[in-house]
This record gives sequence, C-alpha cells and structure tokens, in this order.
Amino acid sequence: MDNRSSLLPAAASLFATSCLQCTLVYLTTLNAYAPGPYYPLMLLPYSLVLFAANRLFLRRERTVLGLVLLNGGLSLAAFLSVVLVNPLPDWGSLLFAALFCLWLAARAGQLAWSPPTLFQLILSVDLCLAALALFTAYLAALELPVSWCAPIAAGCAASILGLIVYRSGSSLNLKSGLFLAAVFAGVFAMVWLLVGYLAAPAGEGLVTLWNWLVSAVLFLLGQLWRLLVFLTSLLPPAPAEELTLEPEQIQMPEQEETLTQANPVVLAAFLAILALAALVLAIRLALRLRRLRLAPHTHSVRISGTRAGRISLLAGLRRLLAGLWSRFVLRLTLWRNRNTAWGLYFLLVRRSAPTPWHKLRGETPREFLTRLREGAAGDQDLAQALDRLIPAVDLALFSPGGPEGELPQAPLIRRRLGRAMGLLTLRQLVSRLPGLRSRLAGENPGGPSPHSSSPA
Amino acid sequence: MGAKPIFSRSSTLVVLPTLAGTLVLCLLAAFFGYGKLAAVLMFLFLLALAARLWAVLALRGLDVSAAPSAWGVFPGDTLTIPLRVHNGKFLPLVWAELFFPLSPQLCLVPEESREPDEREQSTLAEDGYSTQLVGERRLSFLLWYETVPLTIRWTARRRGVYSTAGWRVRTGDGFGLVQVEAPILQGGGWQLAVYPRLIKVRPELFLRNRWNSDTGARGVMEDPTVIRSTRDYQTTDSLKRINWRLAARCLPLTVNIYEDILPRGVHFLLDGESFSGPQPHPEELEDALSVLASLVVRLSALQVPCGLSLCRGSGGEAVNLFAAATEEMLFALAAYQVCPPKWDENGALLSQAPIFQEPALFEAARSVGRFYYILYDAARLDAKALPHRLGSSCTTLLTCLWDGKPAGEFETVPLEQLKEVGSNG
Repeated sequence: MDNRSSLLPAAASLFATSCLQCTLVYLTTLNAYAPGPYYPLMLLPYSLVLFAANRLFLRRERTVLGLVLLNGGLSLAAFLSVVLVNPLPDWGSLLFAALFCLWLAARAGQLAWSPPTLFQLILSVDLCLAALALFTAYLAALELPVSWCAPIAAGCAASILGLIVYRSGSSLNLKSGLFLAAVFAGVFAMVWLLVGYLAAPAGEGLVTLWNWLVSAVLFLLGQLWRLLVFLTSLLPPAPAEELTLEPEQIQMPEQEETLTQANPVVLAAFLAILALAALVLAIRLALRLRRLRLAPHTHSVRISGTRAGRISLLAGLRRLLAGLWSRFVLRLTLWRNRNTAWGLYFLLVRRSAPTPWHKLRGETPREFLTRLREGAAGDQDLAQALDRLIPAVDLALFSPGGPEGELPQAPLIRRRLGRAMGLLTLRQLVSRLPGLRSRLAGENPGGPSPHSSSPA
Repeated sequence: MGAKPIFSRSSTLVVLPTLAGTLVLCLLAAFFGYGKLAAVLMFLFLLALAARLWAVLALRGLDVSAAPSAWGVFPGDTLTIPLRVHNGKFLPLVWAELFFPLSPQLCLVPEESREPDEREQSTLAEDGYSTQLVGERRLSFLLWYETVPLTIRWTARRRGVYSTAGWRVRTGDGFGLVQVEAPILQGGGWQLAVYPRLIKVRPELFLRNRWNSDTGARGVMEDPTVIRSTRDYQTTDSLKRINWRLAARCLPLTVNIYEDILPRGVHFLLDGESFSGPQPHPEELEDALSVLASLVVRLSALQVPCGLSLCRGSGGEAVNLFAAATEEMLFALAAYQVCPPKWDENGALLSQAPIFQEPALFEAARSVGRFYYILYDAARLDAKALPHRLGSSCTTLLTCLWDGKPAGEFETVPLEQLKEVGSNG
C-alpha cells in the first residue's frame, strides 16, 4: 500500500480518535454542566491540523527530536487555547484536556510516519460504534437532545470511510462513493421504516408477549409452591422446644485519627531533586532523539491491472436477468418432470445440496442413490421405491431414447426421503457424541462421516 | 469459489453474538420507550447484518485462476504468473485482495509485498509461512461480470520450493467491516521450485570410463549379436548391416537394427546431514548443491544417465531417483532441507546419521557405473555405513573439506576441483 492511499485511513483514524475523546468529555460532564462551544469540539479540527502539520513536516528528512518538538508545541498551543478561551471549572477537566491534546499529538506523529494497521482501523470503527450506542443511551437516560451525538457520528463515518479506503487500497472515486452512499441511504431507510412504522406494533406485541410470559411463570411458581406446601404437610411436626437467639450488639471501637504534618523543608528538597532528575532525563532523551533520523516520504508507483473486461450497467442487468430466467426455467422443468426418473434424480441432487447427504464430486448417480437407499433402510416402502428408482435412472440417463414415463413411486420418495435422511443424520450425530466428548478431553477417536453409507 | 467462506479480520460488531445482543438491546430499548436509542441500535444491527450478508454474497461467483509461465527457475530469475480475476455476478465488489503467504526461506518473493502485522504473524507462524513478508495485490471496484487480468512478477531469491496452497482471495462488504476469504487454487495448489544456482563445472571425472562419451555416440554402443528389428534398405545404409539371410530367400533387401548397449550411468548420493549437526555448514551445503545441480545438468546434456539419492531430510523420507528427468532431480535438490536439529539431555546439538533408502539403491547398483558420495568432511567417513557397503571399487567421495590424506581405499575428490577456474557459486 503506497503512501498516497494510506493518507485517508490515517487521517480518518486520527479524526475518529478526536471524536471519541470529545464524546468522552461529554459523557463525564453533561450530567453536571453543558460544555462550552470551544472545548471539547476544538479537538476535531485540532486533530486534522496536527495530521497536516506532521505530514508537511516529514516531507524532508527530520530527526525524531524535531517531530517531538513540533507535536509538543502544537499540543501546548492547543491546551493554552483551551485554558484561555474556554476555562474549565476543575483541575480534573484541565488534566484530561492536557492529556487529550498530548495523546492526539503523539498519535498524529505516529500516523504521519507509519500507516495504521487493519487491526487499528477495525478497533477504531468498533469503538466509535460502541460509543455511539452508549452515548445515545446516556442522552436518552438524561433526556438530552440527540444533537450531542454529532461528533461521535462523524467519528463513526470517518472511521468507516478510512476502513473502506484501506481495504480497497486506493482512493474512492465519485462512482464508488455514490454506490456506498446509496447503500448507507438504504440502511437508513430501513431503520426509519422499522422505527417509524413497525416499532409501535412490535412494541405492543412485545408487551403482550411479556405479559403472557410473566403470567405463565407466575402460574408455574404458584403450582410449585402448592406442591411444596403439600409435601411439607406430610412431614412429622417439629419438636415443641424452640431456641431463640438474640443478635449480639457488636460495637467497633472508634479509631483515633492522628494527623501527621509534613516538614516543608524536606518536601521542598524532595521536589527539587525530582525536578532536577526530570530535567536530566529530558535532556538525555532529547539528545537521543536528535540522533534518530526520519527519512522523507516517498511515493511509490502502484501497478494495477488493466480494466478491459468491464461491461455497461445495461449489459450487466441483461446478464443478471438471463441468469435469473435460466434458473427459473430450470426450476420449472424440474417441477414439470418431478415424477419422471431423471427429473426425480436431479430434484434429489438439488434438494440434498445444502444437506450432509449431498451428492459427492465424482459420484455416479447409481452410487448416490444407493447411498440414499442405505440411509433409508429403516423405511421399507421408501427403500423399495428407491430400489425401483435406481435402474430407472440408469436407463433414463445413459441409454439413448430411454423411457420417459412417470414413476408411480416418485411422490412417495419426495415425501419421505427428507425425513428418513434427517433421522439418519440425527442417529449419526448421537453416535458421534462420545467420540466428540473424548476428543474434547484430549483424545482423537475416529467417527463416521455423514457420507458413510451406514445402514439405519 | 466453491469453498466455504472463512470469516477473518472482521469487526466485532458483525460477530453473531454481538448481532444477537444488539437486536435484544434494541428490542428492550423499544420496549422501555427509548425510541432514539432503539433507532441507533437498530441501525447498528442492520448495518452489521447487511455487511455480513454482503460479504457472503461478494465471495460467490468470484473466480480466480492462475497459470505460471514456468515450474522451476534459478536464483535471480523472474517468474511471471498471469492471473485472471472474474466477478461472475451482478453484485460489484468494492474491494478484493489476493493474498500470497511466502515460504519461510523467502525463495520466491512477489513484486508487491509488505510486512505482516502482529496478528497476522502468529497465524503465519502456525501455518509454517514466513513472518517477515507477505505478498499482496489489491483490487478495487470489480464491477458486474468484470474480468481483470493481472500479471504478478516473482523474483527467485534462493533455493527452495514454494507451495501455492496458501494463496487466498479476500473480499467483503463495501464498508470493510467483514472480510471473507477462500483459497484460490483448489486441491493443494502447485509447487514452484527455485533450483540451486548453476555454475561452470568440469565433467571429465565422470567420463573416464566411458568410450566416446564426449563425442559421437556418447558412449552408446550397438550389440551385433542381438537384432532388435529390421527395416527396408536405404541407399545410405552400410552393406554390413544388410540381412543376407532374408536376401538369400529372394526377399526385398532389409537392414538389421541392433540392440543398444547403454553405458552405465553415474549416481550421486548426497549426505546432507554431514553438513549439519553441532557445527552446521549451511553455505557449504548450498555450494555442494550448486555443484551437484550443475553436474546433473552438464552430464544430462552429454547424455550420461544420472541418478540421485538424497538422505532423509525435513521433508520426510529419503529420495531415490534412477534414470529420472533432469527437472525431477533439480526439483529434489531444490526441495532438500536437512533434518530439524536434535538436542541431547544436556542441551547439546546431536549429529544425525544420514538415512538412505538402501534396498532400492543396491537393487539399482547393477546399472550404475559408479557412485559418487558427497559429504562435508572425508575424515568422518568411518561413521558412514553406506559407502563401505557399496564398496570402494565403485564409489568415489566428493568432499568439501579434505586434508589430502586418503580416506581408506576410497578415491577422494574435493568439490572445488570440479569447478571450472573462475566460476563463482
């Protein structure tokens, strides 16, 4: 993936992170007070400014120290702007504001250097969508307007967009963007339909169901209670003596609170030593970072395949309709010939396709029908009918000008075969359970496969 | 794609328990009167459901076919593999990805490759693929019934065999939430070999006992006592070949075709385990394999029948190739890897004895002119049972390390002597 196509996913990931942080601030503050117009909304454009600044900065070869200084400066500027424009009421909020500014700066520096991985993008999407649901519940509980969800909704959209661009490996053009917008609109329309028209009747139905369930449970509990009372009435009565216990009154002794007062001189010395150690550490870190160099971004040429095999939408629709028509004609043919030997055979092949007893690749019609016949051995009539079907299918499929007449046993086979094979599968599953259990315990027994022709 | 789709690298939102949980929460929210929350949860549920269904439908009708231009290359060569990706349905694919895990030795590397992330590395390591690089080619927006022809160039870096069994096609829904994958090549794929590097060698050692081996009939003689068949006389035929018995019976003139006496071939035995052990010599092994491959190719060009036996390696059983095609022998050399190391109780590496398929060897010994046993150090010959069983009269030792002292009664030739002057490995 070249750098051009990692631009949007990286920017989207950073933007989604800022939206999450904004929502987190709302979650912690909305129940006490309404946040100001500047913070935390400023985190959104701040993240984009950070990303752009880092990208531009890394166009040439730089040191890690330079990158750290750039991001540190930007985060400090952002924090100061928050303090001056939108003063926060408590130290906790200030601390979180500083942390968020620093976090975004660090993430921007990281993303400007290396593109996000798929796992990070998926995580971003999951977190945004979960935060959207959680925040909506929070707003509903506090009876606040849903417009507070706008940042997190934007974050969801950005993270999904970043994921789409990452997966496709190239930028979205107008056609692809319109297609995705149409799908989104379709999902919205379904939601509107469901919530607007079906939610009320569904809700009423749900209430009715709930009441029925509650009544049924209460009835059962009542019956159980009566049974318990009846059973206890059969027991011999308890002896006359009764022991009474009085709870003891236990009192905890009160703890004596002692206050220790710190020596101010010692505290000052300790703080000075700490500050000195921090300064020394910062200088050493800066010297190390100065030695690390970051190469400038290079744009690699991406080779893509030619697109000569595209057909127009009309031609595509025509092919789709042709495919649907041929399927319809096939189904109609099979239905019309459902009582002939060959028609019944193909019907059975089709019907068994999604089941465990489907026709295997390379299996002849005789082998397939013999396997079905062995599985249906428990049903005498069905087994006899299949015995008559097998040679009829051979004749119909392989002899030129074979008989085309209807089989009288065809309706019986169609009616009973599914049930017989279902019972066989159930029996095989039950017989394999001990093997599965021992395999879970650590052994490896062999077991019969659904295709094994074991007699019922 | 007939294979069942495998869900991988997808969002947690689309997992079935999460879907069910979202639906339940939505119903509960609607039941308790939180309409907007129910709407959001319903949106998430429908989005995830749509993504899941879309992903499953996306894989249907997607067909990827490939056919390599060659099955074996030499290091430094480029192999072109044309691929054809066909979307056989009306639903367009927003994205698709062809994923090529690479062999641990990185013998073949595609032009587009990347480093796998941490999550991929564990899966790749479990499946026995390289965790340093993976090959990948992305496609975006495959429209209805569209076919995209691709050409991927692979560079052969070093000796090895690369299996295409792990090739995958990945696609999913348009939102990127779900990824489904399926194998590209059914039935285990193919194997592409990077043969040992060829160098210039001197084959005179192997042609000593062969009459006219370097020119003319290449050592093949006719047995005048055995007439295989006859044919009509032609003016260019020698009079000595005319079948006079038939001519005496007034039949048309015919000439005899005599049975060929094929010269005895040479058979190479590679003792790869002598190059490993407590002090492994991997570069010397590669050099020996290069010399061996070059000799096989050169002798085959001189129409000298060659055979090859490899001792048991990490791939499984020992290999015996008698009168095999040159490509087959080169493939066996490309695939050979020494056995995995073994340690004793004290943690020291153990030397492992080479294991050959000896019964087949002795059975074929009658048609073999001479055996050439390749090992690292001729001084360790006493520990090798097979050369002694074959006998010093028909076995020559080809060794990497030789101090000039005779190894018993065996003729010993250093591998360096077989190289032409100025040839580089």
